[in-house]
Order: sequence, then C-alpha cells, then structure tokens
Amino acid sequence: MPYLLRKFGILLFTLWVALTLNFILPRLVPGDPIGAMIAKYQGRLDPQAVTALTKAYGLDNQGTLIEQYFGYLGRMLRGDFGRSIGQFPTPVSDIIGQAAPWTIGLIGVTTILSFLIGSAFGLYSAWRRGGRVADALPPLALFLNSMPYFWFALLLLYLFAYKQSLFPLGNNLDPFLTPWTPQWWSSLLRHAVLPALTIIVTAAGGWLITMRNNVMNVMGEDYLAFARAKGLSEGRILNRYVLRNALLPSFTAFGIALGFVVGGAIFVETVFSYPGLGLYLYQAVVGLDYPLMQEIFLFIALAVLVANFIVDALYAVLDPRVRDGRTT
Amino acid sequence: MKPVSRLAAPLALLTAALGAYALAQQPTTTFTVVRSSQWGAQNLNPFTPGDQHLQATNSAIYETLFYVNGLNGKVTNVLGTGYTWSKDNKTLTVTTRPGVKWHDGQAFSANDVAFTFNYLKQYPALDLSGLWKNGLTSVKASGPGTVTFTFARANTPIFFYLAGTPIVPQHLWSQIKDPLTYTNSKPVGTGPFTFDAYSLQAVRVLKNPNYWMRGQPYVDAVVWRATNGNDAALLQLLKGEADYGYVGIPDPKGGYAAKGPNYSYWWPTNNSNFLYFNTTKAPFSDPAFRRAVATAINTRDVALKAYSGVLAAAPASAVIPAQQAQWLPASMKGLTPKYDPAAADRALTAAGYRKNAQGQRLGKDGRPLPTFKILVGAGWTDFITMAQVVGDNLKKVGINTSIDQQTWSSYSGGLQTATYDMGISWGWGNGPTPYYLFYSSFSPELSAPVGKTAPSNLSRYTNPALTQALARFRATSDPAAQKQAVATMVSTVMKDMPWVPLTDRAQFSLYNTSRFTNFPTAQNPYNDGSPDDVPGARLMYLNVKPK
Repeated sequence: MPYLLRKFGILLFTLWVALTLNFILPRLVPGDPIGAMIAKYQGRLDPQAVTALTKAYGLDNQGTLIEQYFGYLGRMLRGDFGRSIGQFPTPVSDIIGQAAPWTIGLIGVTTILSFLIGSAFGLYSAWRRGGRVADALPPLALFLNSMPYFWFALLLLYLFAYKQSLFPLGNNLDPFLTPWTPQWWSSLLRHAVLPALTIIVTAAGGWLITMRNNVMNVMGEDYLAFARAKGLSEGRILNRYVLRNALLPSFTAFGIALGFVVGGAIFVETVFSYPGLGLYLYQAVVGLDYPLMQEIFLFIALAVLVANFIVDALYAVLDPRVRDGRTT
Repeated sequence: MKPVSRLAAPLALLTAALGAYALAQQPTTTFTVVRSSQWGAQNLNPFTPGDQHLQATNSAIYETLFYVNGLNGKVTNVLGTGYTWSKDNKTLTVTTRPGVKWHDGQAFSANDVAFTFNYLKQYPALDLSGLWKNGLTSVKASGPGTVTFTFARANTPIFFYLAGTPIVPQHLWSQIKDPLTYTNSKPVGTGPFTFDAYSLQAVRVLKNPNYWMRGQPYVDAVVWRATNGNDAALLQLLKGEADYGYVGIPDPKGGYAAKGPNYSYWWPTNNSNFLYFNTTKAPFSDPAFRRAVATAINTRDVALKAYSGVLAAAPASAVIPAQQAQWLPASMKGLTPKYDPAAADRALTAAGYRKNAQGQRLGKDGRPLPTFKILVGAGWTDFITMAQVVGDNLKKVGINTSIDQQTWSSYSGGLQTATYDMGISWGWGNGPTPYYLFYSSFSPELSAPVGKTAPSNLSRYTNPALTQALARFRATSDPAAQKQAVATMVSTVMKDMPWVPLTDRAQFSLYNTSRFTNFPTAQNPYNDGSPDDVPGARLMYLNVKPK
C-alpha cells in the first residue's frame, strides 16, 4: 500500500496548491467586484452605491493579505464558501448545489456515452479493418473531432431549434412544470438532446481514434498470435485478450476526462444557456465573483484529483507492475 | 344534522377539487419577457444591491412613490400623489395615495413610506442611492397621507432617487432583522402583479386583482425567461416565444425590424459614448492638447461606421437630444462637434506640440509622443470600430494610437483606477436632467487618487467652476436657475474637453407585436424604453394590451 499512500499524499499536497492558487489568482485580476458591477449597469446604477455595496459584500474590512489567506483556508476546511457576489446573498454552496446536478447529468452522462460509443466504434473499426465501413470511420472521426465545439453547437441550434423547431432554443427545462412528472421528464430530455449531441459527436471521434490505435497495437502482440494458434474462438480473443488490454490506456484518459467535466462544460452550457457549473463559472469570472469562482475552481480541482486518484488505484488493481511498485 | 354532514363531505371535496382546478389553470394572457442574461437563486429582496434580485421585484411587485422618466424628467404619480419643496428646498412634502392595499390585504399608508426610508437609515448597506449620506436627516409621516422629508442642505436632484425607492410594508419588514441577506421568498408589495413561480429558466407573476389602478393591467401574467446572450434572446423574439426583450444588437433595423411586420423596436437616446482622456497623464493633462485632439476626430464618421446609421454622432454638449430643448441655452443647441483636421494640426503646434520632419507629433519636451493606447472592451465591435476611426483621425495629425482590448474586469478596472491613456465608454450615471451625468462624471466626491477606484469620475477631471455649478443646481428647485447652472457645466466641459462625446447611446427595447399592442414607442413614450429590471418597465406591463 505505500504506492497508494504516496498517491494520497500527492493528492493532499496538490489540493493545498490548488487552494492557494485559488486564493491568489482572483486577486491578480485587475479591477474590483464593485467597480465591475457599477460598470456592468452602464450608468444605470448610482455611483453612490459604492459605499453601500462595499459594506454589503463585506469588502470594507478584510485585513492584511496573510490574514485573508489563513481566514480563507480555515473557511475552506470548514466548508464555508461564503456568499456569492454576483447572486448576493445566496451562499455559494447553494448555487453549486443547484447547478452541479445539471452539469454532472448532462456533461457527465455524455462524456461516458461518447467514451462508450467512440470506443465501441474504434474497436469495430480496428477489428474489421479492411471493411468499407470500418475504414471510413477513422477519417470521419478525425473530421468530427477537429470540429470546434462551439461552432457545431451553433450549427445544431440554428438547424434544429431555429429553422425546424424540433428542439428548444436553450435552457434545461420548460418553465413551471411539476418535477418528476412525465411532462417534466420529456421536457428535460428534449432540452438535453442538442447539447448532448454536440458533446457526443465532437468527443466520440477522439475516443474512436484512441481505441482503434490501442486495438491495433494489441493485435500486433505475440500473445494474440499465440491465442489464435491455440484455436480460441474470435469472440473469446476479442473479449479476453484484445478488449481488456486495449481499454487500459483509454481508461486513464477517460478518468482524466471525467475530471474535466466541469471545466469542459463552459462552451456547451454557454451556447445552450444550460444552467450548470460551466455557465456559472463564466458568469463568475465576468462579474469578478471571487467566492463563486473559488468554489467552482475548487470543485474542478477536486474532481480532477479524485478522478486521477481513482484511476491510480484501479491501475494498482489491474496492473501488477504498478502494484509491486516497480517502475518498469 | 346527520344528512347535512353526509352531504357536506362530498361538497367539501368538490370545492377542494374545484379550487385545485382553479389554481392549476394557466393564465390566459401571458406577456413574456426574454432576458439576455441568466439569473441565479431565488431572491426577491428589493434592497439587494445591483439587480441580483429577480426582475419582477423592481418592476411588477413593489412600487415607488413616483416614476421619473429618465429621458425628459416627466414625473408620474405612483404611490405618491403629489410633492412640494419648501422655500429653502430643505423640506419635501409628499402626499400618498389613499385606498391602496398590500398584496396580503392590509392597508398601505404614509407610515409604510416613512418606515421604508428609516429602514434604509438603520441599515446603510441597503441605501444604494446614498440618500442618508447626501443630506437626508429625517423622514416622518405627518398624517395618514403625508410624508415629510427633511434635509440638512438643499439637494433637489435627490428627488429622482427618493422617488425610485421601492416601498415595503412596515407590518412585515419591521420583523426582518437581516435585510441584507434576506431573500424574501414571498414578496408582499402594492404592485400590479403578485409573485407566483420561480425557476432557473423562468419567473412568473400574476395579475393582482385588487390593484389600485382599476382595469389595469390588461394582461393576466408576466413571465421572464432567462437565456444566455443576445443571440439566444433575439431568436426567441423572432420565433414569437417572447413579446419583449432588452437586447442590444448591432442593427435593429436590418437585423430585426426588416424581418417581418411584427418586429419593431424603440431605441431612444438616453446616453452617449465618450472618448475619455486620462487627465492625470501628460499630454492629456493639457486642455489645449485635448481640445485640439477633439477637433481632429470626425464623430459623424465614428457613428456611421460603428452603428451603420442607427445611432447618430453625439452632441458636443453631451446633453442628450430629449433634454436639449429644456436644458440647453439656445446658443448651444444643436452644437455638433466641429471636425477640422487642419485647425487641429495648427492648434497642436500652437500649444507647443510641434511635428518633426517625419510628421511625428512631438511632446513639449521635444521628443516624439508615444503610441497612446485606446482602451476598449475585448470583442466589443462597436467600441473597437470607434477606436479605429479615432486612431485613423489622430494619425492625420501625427499622433499614433493602438487599440487596447481588455476583458470586462480589466476594462472597467483600468478606467476606474486611471491606468489608461484614452478609453471609450458610456456616460457613467445618467438621469432625467443633465445634472446627473455631469455630477457623476466630474464631481470631486466621485473621483479618487490614481490607482484607487473612482466610482465614476473616469477622466479624473474636476474644475471649481463646474463643482460650483453642480452645487448651485442642487440648491434650487427653480428651473431657470437650474438651466443656468447646466449652461455653466456644459460650457466649462466644452472648453476643457476632458472627454469627446462620440456617438449617441440608446435603450434597446425590441418588441414582437404579434400578440400585444400599446408598447412604449417614440409616438407614445409613456416610459423611457428602460429595461425590465427598473421601475419604468412597470408602465409597460400596465399598458400592453392583448390584441
């Protein structure tokens, strides 16, 4: 277990670095939240409000930088993330609680789906190499994968929501529905189709290429030739020898991708006005909403770190070389 | 008794079922507003800073004493029915409307008004317009229908802020001890609509059947829908999913109105875009230099290129067209900036900024002027275009510029801390008379040392003559004296040119008229075309009629 313990130590250290960066970075951004807010109203908010706002947001008496830093660390440890500036006086945790399910639901599910779909096609494409469909897949995948996320989302929006009215123009639900009713579910799904399609179509291509390469590598290994020579069935070879070994490298990448779900959500959620973490992160950055920014960054950092840790742990289970602590 | 009770049970059930049915019924005429931004959690506290409370709070649920039209200063009575200033302008007496009921059925009275203002005194963080900081000393209900405001010194423009303060019920708010963080999930106001439903996507208010204005509003409900940007909001208007939106698009004529008979817009000019000079830096600290530069800029061309004819060049006086007739002396009316590069060239040389053999403009020390940065927001195409035209114009008189695109926070921060050379922005703080713009732009109180955040004096320009004129305006309620003070402000600023007014700036109301009529327009300007999160929007919700 020293391997996992060491990994856990690294996790804690990285978390501390992330927290510290999280503290420093927003303070390097020029401008202050109140100024940004006054400016945002483009003349509609009275400049006299500055004093009141400063007081309201607790920005009037913050102490020295060191005091602020330790106060911040202490609050983070206690799980007190403060109140949002952009959505004052709502506690940041409430906003995260409201937004996170949408991001995890939409981006999380589509990340898994695109991994499964892409990998399945990748496996097929490598296994059936020489076939017309199998050989057409990689160039198509490369094309879709290189297409800008943003542009593809706008294209879908224009064609299927504006021109055809098949799907809504944005948001996550129709208003005023009772949760968990059939209408609610149908509304939820209709709203999710276009953003989900954007992610699956643009991301699956990458997984396809990765998986195809892995499978091709495995197919060149001696043990496959040996398995064939033993006269094992194709199905058995595919399941026991090819898939397992080819999945391992893809799996690492998948773990990391899951960690980046929140960060990756920004584009899709902005285009489709989907009220998840990505959208709120964007708004927090624009509005200099330090507390909200900090907690979303922390959320992302935690997700990446934990996902990495789980992948490391699983590797220890899957790969004997890692478990024994040897590097080769 | 038995048969009756046997009957009563099913009857009660039936009544309950009917009641539930009535509740579940959807409102028949719903006026839909689309927003080009998202809102966050449910917060209906009208005193929350900024517009972080839900839009309905300011425009449909809570009412103010008066509505002051931001374009022309016209005052509409709301909860107040009249007001008078005392001779010395230190006492304001407001009569309040009788027969008004709060949403919970309790009667509204002058006590609620006095309570509201004293509540702001008790919790200074709620006093967003700085009423108590700017001389208000006491607010008392001097009868069931009269409120008296007393001031330490005369400050008549404060009426605008006083008039626009939301009035809350004393019987509920006196219980609230943490008004700053209170989210007011069941708001009780006097407004034409009562709160109904909230979600991240939409907010709905329903018609208040007991509203004091009989017969109005004509719609049963107002719904706000959230989107995340102008494009998304525009699509909803084009598709007829929304009836109104406050959406700044580059070309409302071609990009919206031309697309069909039901698409119309009203963009009244309520502000200007300016080229600000950082007067703390040489050579922008030299009025002669600034004046010469101003003459070198072709503002007609700036407006034409930036807004393709939708918005015009700004008046040099910076007094918006709707206020010129009332506030500008005849001699200054219709003054457009005089574009004359040859004169600018001569003026620069005369002021000590000669040209060298290569045609470069030199500073007073004889060394070539550096390339000045023009600060704009990153990706703001209209401002970038303006900066390009300004740069081309200045090139002709030997001054080099570059465009400095900054993200929102760096942009506003740069302007407020005076770390820029030249910057393009709007007038920070406009109101129903020219006073508000000159006060926020040039008053010493709203300035700050370089490096510190100034609320709104971006050019860091002050002038005793101007400061005195502002004080004279404040001290009187006599329109003639106020007009004279405005004339001093205008002539002082035009002489010293701490900014160059570039183009008009407008409100952005877009309508889809397929379902409703009677929107505010240039022919029927019953409000100032203001967005849905300010009190002026209430007049629209009261006046729009189903077709």
